Amino acid sequence: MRVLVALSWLALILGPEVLLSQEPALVGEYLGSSGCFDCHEIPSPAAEERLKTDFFINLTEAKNWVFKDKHARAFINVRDTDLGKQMLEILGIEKLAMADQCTSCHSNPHWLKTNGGMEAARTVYKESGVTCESCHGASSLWDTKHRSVRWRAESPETKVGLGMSDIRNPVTRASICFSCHIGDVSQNRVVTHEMYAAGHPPLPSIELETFLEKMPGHWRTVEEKKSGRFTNDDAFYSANGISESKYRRLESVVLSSAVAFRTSVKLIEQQAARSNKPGGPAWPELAMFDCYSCHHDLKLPSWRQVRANEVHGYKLRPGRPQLLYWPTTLLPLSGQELDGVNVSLREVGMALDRRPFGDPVEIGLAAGKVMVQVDDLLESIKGVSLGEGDEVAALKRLCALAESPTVDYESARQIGWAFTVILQTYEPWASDAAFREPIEQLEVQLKLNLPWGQEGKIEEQLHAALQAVSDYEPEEFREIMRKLASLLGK
Amino acid sequence: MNLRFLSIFVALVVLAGFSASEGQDPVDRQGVAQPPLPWEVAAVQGFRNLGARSCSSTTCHGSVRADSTNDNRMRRDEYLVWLEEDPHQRAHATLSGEQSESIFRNLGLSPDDQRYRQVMQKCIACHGMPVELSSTDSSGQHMVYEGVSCETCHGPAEKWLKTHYRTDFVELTGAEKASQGLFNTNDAHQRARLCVACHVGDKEREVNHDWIAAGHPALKFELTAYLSMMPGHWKETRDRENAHNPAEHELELWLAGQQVAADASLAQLARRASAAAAGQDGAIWPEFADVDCYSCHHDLGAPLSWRQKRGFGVVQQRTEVQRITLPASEWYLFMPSRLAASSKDAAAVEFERAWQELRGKMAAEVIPDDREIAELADAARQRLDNWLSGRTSTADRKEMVDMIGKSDDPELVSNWDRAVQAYLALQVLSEDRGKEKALRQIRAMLAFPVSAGRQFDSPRKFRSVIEDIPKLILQFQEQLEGKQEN
Amino acid sequence: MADRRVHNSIGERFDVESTRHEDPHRRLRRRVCWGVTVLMLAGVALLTWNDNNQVYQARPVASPHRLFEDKCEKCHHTSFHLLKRTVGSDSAAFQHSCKVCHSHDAPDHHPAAIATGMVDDCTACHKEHQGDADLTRVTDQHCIRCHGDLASAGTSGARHFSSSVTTLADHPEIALLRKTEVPVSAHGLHRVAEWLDGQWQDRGKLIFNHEVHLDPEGILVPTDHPDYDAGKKQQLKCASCHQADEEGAYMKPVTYQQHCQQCHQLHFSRQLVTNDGSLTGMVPLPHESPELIRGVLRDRLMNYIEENPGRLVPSDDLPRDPAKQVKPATAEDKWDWVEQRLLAMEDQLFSSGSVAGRGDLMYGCQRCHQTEKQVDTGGKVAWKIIKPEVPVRWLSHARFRHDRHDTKITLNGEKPFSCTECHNVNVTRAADRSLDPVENILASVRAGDILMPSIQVCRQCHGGRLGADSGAASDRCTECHRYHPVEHGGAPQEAALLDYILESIARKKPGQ
Repeated sequence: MRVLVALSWLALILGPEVLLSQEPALVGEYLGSSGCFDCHEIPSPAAEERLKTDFFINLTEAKNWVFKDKHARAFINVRDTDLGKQMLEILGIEKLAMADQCTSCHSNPHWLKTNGGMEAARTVYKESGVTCESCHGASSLWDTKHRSVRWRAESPETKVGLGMSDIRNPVTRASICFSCHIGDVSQNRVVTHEMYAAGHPPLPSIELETFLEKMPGHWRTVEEKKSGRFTNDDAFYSANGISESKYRRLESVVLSSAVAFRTSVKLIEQQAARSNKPGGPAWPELAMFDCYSCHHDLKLPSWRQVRANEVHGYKLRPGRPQLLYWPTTLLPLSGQELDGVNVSLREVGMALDRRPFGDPVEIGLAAGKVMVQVDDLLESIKGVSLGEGDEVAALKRLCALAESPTVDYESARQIGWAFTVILQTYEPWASDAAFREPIEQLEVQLKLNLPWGQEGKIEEQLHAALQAVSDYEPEEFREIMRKLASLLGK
Repeated sequence: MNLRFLSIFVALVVLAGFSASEGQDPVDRQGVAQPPLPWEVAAVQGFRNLGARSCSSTTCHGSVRADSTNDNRMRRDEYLVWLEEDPHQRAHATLSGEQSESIFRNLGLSPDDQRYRQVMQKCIACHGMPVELSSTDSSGQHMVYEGVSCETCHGPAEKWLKTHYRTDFVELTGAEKASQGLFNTNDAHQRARLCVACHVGDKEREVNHDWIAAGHPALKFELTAYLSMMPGHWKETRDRENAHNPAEHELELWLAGQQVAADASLAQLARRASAAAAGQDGAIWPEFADVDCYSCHHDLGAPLSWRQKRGFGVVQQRTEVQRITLPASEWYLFMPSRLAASSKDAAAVEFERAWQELRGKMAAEVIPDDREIAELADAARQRLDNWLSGRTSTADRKEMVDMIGKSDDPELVSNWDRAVQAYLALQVLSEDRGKEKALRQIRAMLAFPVSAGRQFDSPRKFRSVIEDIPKLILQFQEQLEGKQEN
Repeated sequence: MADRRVHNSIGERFDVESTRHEDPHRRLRRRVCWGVTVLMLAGVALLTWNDNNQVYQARPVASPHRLFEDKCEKCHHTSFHLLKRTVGSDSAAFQHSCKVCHSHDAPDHHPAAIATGMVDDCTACHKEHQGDADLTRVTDQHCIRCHGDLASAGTSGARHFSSSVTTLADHPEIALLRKTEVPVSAHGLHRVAEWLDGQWQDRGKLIFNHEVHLDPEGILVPTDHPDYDAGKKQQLKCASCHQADEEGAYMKPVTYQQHCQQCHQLHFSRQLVTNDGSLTGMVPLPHESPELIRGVLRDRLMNYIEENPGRLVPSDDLPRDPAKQVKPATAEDKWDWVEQRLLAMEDQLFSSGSVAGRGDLMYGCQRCHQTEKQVDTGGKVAWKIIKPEVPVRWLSHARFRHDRHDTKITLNGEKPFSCTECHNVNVTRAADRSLDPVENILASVRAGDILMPSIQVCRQCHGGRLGADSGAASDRCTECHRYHPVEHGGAPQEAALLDYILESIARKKPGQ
């Protein structure tokens, strides 16, 4: 324990460099995604032939990505929509491609830096938005290697060593997704309050399984792979330790919620570290806190006052900006002991109590302690194997979580998404019509149906979405969850 | 700016800083010490409170029927007006009500908590008679329950109860009466001091954001508005008599209210900032109560919201890109600033400059530097006093009309606080007790809406009325001009 | 036979001559004796003609009993009374006791006194046949017999009372003004006072302030007074409220109707006043019990809302501050409105004290009265006014005549007494001796203050020439103390008296 404390002190003393430099070590260079399109856009006739018997991939990933996935249009949507244009105007950005603060999420800044702008249409088609390399890693070292059939039999460590991110690992996958969807200072992926004020839609909470399901995916799932055979399949399965478990979904929900928590705490830690550095940005970065803690029209009677600001057993002072609530909502699903985490979170709460927004040094220290606890938690979660009845228990647990006094809008969404996504794979309830109505009510109340894919336009739905935040009343949410609980009970 | 002026300015700022750090109230009114407020009288002169019962005899101030003759300056039914209609009487009773209980609950205080009593004492500083609860004189205990009662405003009655109706006393000047403990409520400035001490705050009276979040109503005070809502227990003719310009007594009240409230709010800011700078226990910095409430407390709106159109920051222009921080509350300072901006007086210009500097510094960072803010707030306060206390004339109608300026001035509606202060100023100018249609419509637009059975406590629909309010202001102004021409 | 007595012997023994010469006075003597005897008997017969027993009386009876003074049997056993008296056995025993005519109710004191054995019956103190004396004039000796040394008198009530009182000079202070708590009821003290906060206080449950009412500068007349004039002031004096009864002995009770109503008319709320402040809206409430008041209020409220139906709708006068919420009236109909206002008005009239959250604010009935709230199991509220029961007679076992104390005799002639010359003590403020006596009374602000005079005051005149600096008024015990209860007086029962009168004029036989 003391070692850990000393380490955290050391971390502070050695300076934020230690923390900030923890971005995934860049192995290799970014080649750009145009190369990927050569194979992965449309299979050649020869490849077509082979695909009939080889069920590993379908070689249309890039096309699917560009035509179906919203991520591909991330850059264009900012540059061409009214909302995006307003933002650029207010922030005074003339060339989007040159704006690091935007492209760190909405494109691949490394490639952009070395390759100038994004004028050519062809370039836009292939290189704008979230590119292949943004998730799969810089490809210079594995580009040629991965074309071989033997590549799939390599261990993930080897692949990572060459720069290919191990997306099959749920923790890694979650970290990569959350680095944009929550934030990561070391990769400059931070939405600041100025950006929000300029018009950036508020980042919703993210439940990874749901989001992945709706992406739509450009990969063949494990089930799809298993429906056929492919070369080196045994080697592949053993090398990657693909879970045979039919509780894969539940595992993923639990793991990714823990990783989301970790990411958000890390973000706080990193921002505190940045502010502590002389010459760093002033504390606080307002966007780090829960948006709706401040941004809510005052209502009488107010469910926030009734909530009385009790977080993890510690009663916080009313009226103080709080950190995000939703990352901790699903932690109890893991079934692990959360005392350590709670105690460390309490310290963060106390630091926020002592002065509004907290003192950056105190917050940094407290966040460091939380990180330690979260890492422990992750380790213990990984070690758990799920069994019969765990899914039902998880569903019931979710209903119980709804009764917590700190269930704000985003937390409610977490519960709603987790419930829906676990229920989907659990027969016989998945097709039970009785569940449909309450779930639909949840969807309406919590706007669980985001504008997925390229058909859904964020700008159009934004107003209704924000209205739903304002109209949210926890008691109404709890009633629906109670209804679901009673259905589960039968 | 020449060196001499600069050095004088610096000296003044330093002096102001000194006086702030010593925690004294600088003497204002150009060096004249202000008469003590009623609760200070007890400490300064030692006169005792006797309780509202001593005023309430049916033959004195407790009659049921008001006096209908013209020359008697007493209403005769003062006690009953206060008892039956004035919310001040219920001030103490609210402390045992539901809302109060929930405030204490939200603050995490239960009645057996030691801090509960301490906090309750602070509540009683405004909500009850400020008598020493630990005194051996048990009659004082009962007086606490009287809420804001006769002697809270008129001063402890011990010395003047039996003399104040005699001719030789009545003919004394206000200051001489005050030396006996009878506070001079006739003077607009003194009256404003009285109200502002609780409704804005002073050394012992403060409502901060922690309390407001726990459920206490936010303090947004404007003297003429509150006086119009308070069931008055005095004859209006008397107000007119006592004003310097009887025809415009409400303007005089308005100006006095604005001055004293602005002064108190700056003093409060300075106090909070210096407490934080000195690292005092319990000091909160930044104090959100000094920030504009509704710049945070608004639901996030549609894309292309009116705030995004308007721009952010101090100067609120679209072209400026700056760090989004917490803008200082302008509720108490908007009108004085506007008045100063439209005035040619050198002292006014000084004040305006000081205020804008303070505003800029408050908005420079999310957590502004407390020492700097303390100094700047004190400086602004000095300038305000220099300007308004040095005036020889009171507010006049033309000045106020000029101050409102053009109806389509975007400054007037750039946020709710400003719009309401402008509206209240228009009310003062109104010729028909505020019954003009334009004014009623403006009020309806500014009022907090009720929706789906919930009462909103923030100007939720303000975004939709920004275009319309200037039109109504224009309408009203034309109406005024029309009347004046006739 | 011949007389064998020897002449000589007779001659030697008896002076024969004596029989020859009669004593010259003898006849006279004889005649005188016989004459006198006959005359005496005639005289006695004459004197006792018609049952006139005066000749046997010890002395004449007192004048109230002269009516039957010659009828000894009215009181005494008269059989063989002459003989018995002559012989010396006591024939003064009572046949009928004094109670035949006088009250049967003995005072508390009497049985106690009888138990000591010192006092047998009425005659122990009331000596008849003393001539035309005042029977009620019991001398001090009769009292001092026990009270001179109460402990050894062996009475049960000894511990309440001073152990030795012989004259007015060593008479203790009156119980009302004493600083000690007398444990058990002492002679009617508890009828007028109660022991609160370490002193005796007026038991009456009324709230009243002498100081305000007796302000030497006068008090303003209220606006609803018929004589209202702006600035007019009235000077109240003791006699404005405290008026003596027809006899002049005691003070009449102070009543609301006579003394308070002129100024304290029972208006209480401005809410029912119509806009023009017309008088019709301002008829005062009756001075009645809360149930009646409730009925009256309900009635008036109903009338008011019938005439002003606009009050149901909230006024469109909005508060100037747009942030202030306007709570619309929640009354659905007139009855609802009336019931809401009724509750509020009753609360205003009757509730008070810190419990009600109002501290010392008193308004409506609790301005003067103490009230009590009764909530029944159904939650309905009823109010009760605690009976004031202001004591009318303070020293009920004493007698006093205010009219006899109207003037005092001084060296400079007769001077009138002012009330405050005797009533100059305010018990509760006795500690504040810096105030002069008049101010003391005037400074009484609580109704609990006892403003009865101290015994020092009495002693100033009632010294019986014993004290050096006292006056000459009588200082007998019976001057003030009563032995028999006041209410039941010493007056003879009318029936018995009537019987006697009718008997004596032979209209009625005794016992009919």
